[in-house]
Amino acid sequence: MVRNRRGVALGLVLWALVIGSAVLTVAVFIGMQERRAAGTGRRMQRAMTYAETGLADALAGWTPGLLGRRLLHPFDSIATGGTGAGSAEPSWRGTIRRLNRGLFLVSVQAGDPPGSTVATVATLSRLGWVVRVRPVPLRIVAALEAGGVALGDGARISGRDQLVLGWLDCPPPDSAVAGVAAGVIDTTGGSEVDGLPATILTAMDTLFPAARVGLFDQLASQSTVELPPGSWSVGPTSSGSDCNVSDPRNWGDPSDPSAPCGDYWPIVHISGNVHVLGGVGHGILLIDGDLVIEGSFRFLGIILVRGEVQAASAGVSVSLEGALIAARAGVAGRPLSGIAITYSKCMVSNSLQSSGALVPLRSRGWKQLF
Amino acid sequence: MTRRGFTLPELLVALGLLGVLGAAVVGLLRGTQDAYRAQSQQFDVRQNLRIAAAFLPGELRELDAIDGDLVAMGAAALTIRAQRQLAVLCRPPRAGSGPSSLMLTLRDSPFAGWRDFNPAADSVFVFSDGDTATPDDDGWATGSIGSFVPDTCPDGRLGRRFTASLRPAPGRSLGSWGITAGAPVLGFETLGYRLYRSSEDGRWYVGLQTATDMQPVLGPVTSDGLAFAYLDSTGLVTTQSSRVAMIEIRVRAQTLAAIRDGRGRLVQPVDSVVMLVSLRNNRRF
Repeated sequence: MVRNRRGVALGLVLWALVIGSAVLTVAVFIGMQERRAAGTGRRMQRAMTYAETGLADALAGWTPGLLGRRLLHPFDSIATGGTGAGSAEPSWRGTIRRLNRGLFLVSVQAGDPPGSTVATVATLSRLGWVVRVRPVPLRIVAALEAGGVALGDGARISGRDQLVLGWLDCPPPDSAVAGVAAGVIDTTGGSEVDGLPATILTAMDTLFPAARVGLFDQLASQSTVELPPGSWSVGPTSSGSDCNVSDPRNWGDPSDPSAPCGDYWPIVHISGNVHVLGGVGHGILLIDGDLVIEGSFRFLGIILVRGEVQAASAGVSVSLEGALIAARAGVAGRPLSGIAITYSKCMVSNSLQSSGALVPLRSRGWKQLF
Repeated sequence: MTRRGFTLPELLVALGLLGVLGAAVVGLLRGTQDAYRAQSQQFDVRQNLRIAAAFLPGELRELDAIDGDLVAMGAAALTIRAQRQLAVLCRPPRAGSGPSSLMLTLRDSPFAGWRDFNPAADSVFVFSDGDTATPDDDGWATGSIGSFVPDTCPDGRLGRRFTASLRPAPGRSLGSWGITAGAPVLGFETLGYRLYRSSEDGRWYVGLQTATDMQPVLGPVTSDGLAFAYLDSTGLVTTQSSRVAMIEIRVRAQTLAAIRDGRGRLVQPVDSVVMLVSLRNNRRF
């Protein structure tokens, strides 16, 4: 016999299931919210860590000279990026932007998950770093510093700081340095030496100043143009408004800072004797042998010559605004003639902006970008 | 004749059982509701703490304590020069109307900031390079700014010109500013973060004190819900603002309303977070 069962058990069970489901749903929902929020916080921290890594890595491999060669003009920029340790994905992307001769802005964006660039799918962090050039330290003691110096007719050496025509972005002139500092100084009646003092007699012999050997090597290790020994005519080359920095005979344009190559200040290293047939340039010129100037030549910046400097041709104009350091500048019987060397702190400083290291500003360089 | 129905005792027993069941269900529902409310409240507390963890360190990281960005240091209040914008000069500065006045032109790009310049509230730092051969003399001229007018940069890009009344960087003098084209310009606002009690609801909040008003940025917190500790580079507590290299922030947040704990008592749970922030912009060398 089937017994008629009436009761509330099924209803109660269903009701309990509904209540239980509601409790479970609420718990799961809040748990998920909590997990998402905590995950977002964690991703923000990770993204910032990736961005800080990017800031530290963005300048790896760049010297001021190499970066200046890529970013010739103010506000030029290049893209960069990299991966964090243990990650195959690019964990940060960024740009390096030139601000002026000595300042750059590095901006980096990193996301979590690594490689993300879209804010809707990732947590992003953007950081910036203003870095500057810390040039190789160089204290100029004279417009012409050498082991031995012999000056002939038409040689004019001045240690008084001169502004260079057309170059406006220079600090006020500095106090003077000596005209000539050398172990042996031989001048004839036709030469002029001016400075404070005009000459300094050092204990050097007729070798490249020993104190400058380290400087030469340091600058040579950062050269941006390598040339073999030989005879060279030099001058700026450009196509339209683009300076042709791949031409090793393009040493910049001292005639006009606003010209295409006006901002190009290379470090040129020549591994032997060189004959300059003529031309113009600016930057740092390093010569592992003798420098023979045979044609009209104008150079702004610093020239370091491990051997002898000769400028013997008549009727040519040779001018250097900056400083010259050599083993010998002319020798007895073959003096350096028809050359004008004028100390210019501005040109020395400008040329040194291609050397040294890139370092963060000593304060307020770190920036959170929004 | 068969009579169908319930006897009075049966009805009473059934009603009693239903009452017990109903009470249990109501209790269960109330418990669910309490649990939901408690979880929501605690979620809000933790969310507040997460905001604190994301927001306050971001404000403090950019400070340069050596250069005076910690304007006033207290145990539960801190007044800072909060960094707001980064822009770049596209021209050398030109002399303004007075000896401390300079006309500056900012390029429209690059620019970064969580809002635009506000001459009424913002001041600026302008990078002063001086001798480019060395970073040793680098510094920042600082001062107030006037209103902006459109200008054009030498490269043809749009810019904005404004007049700044500046104090020269340390070691420099009026007229010898050491400021060149390309110099970064940083906008900042002097403001304070402090613990305060709202006159509206009587609760404690972490408030943002600007020149014009005080507004809550997170809370409610406990009456000791915000604490700063100032540490030097060795990790020791210091009271000298120029020696501060790290700032420890403690935030203790509590639920907006009381919730029932496991024993049914009404409580206001508290949760806390501790953050240690290194000041990234302190002078390096």
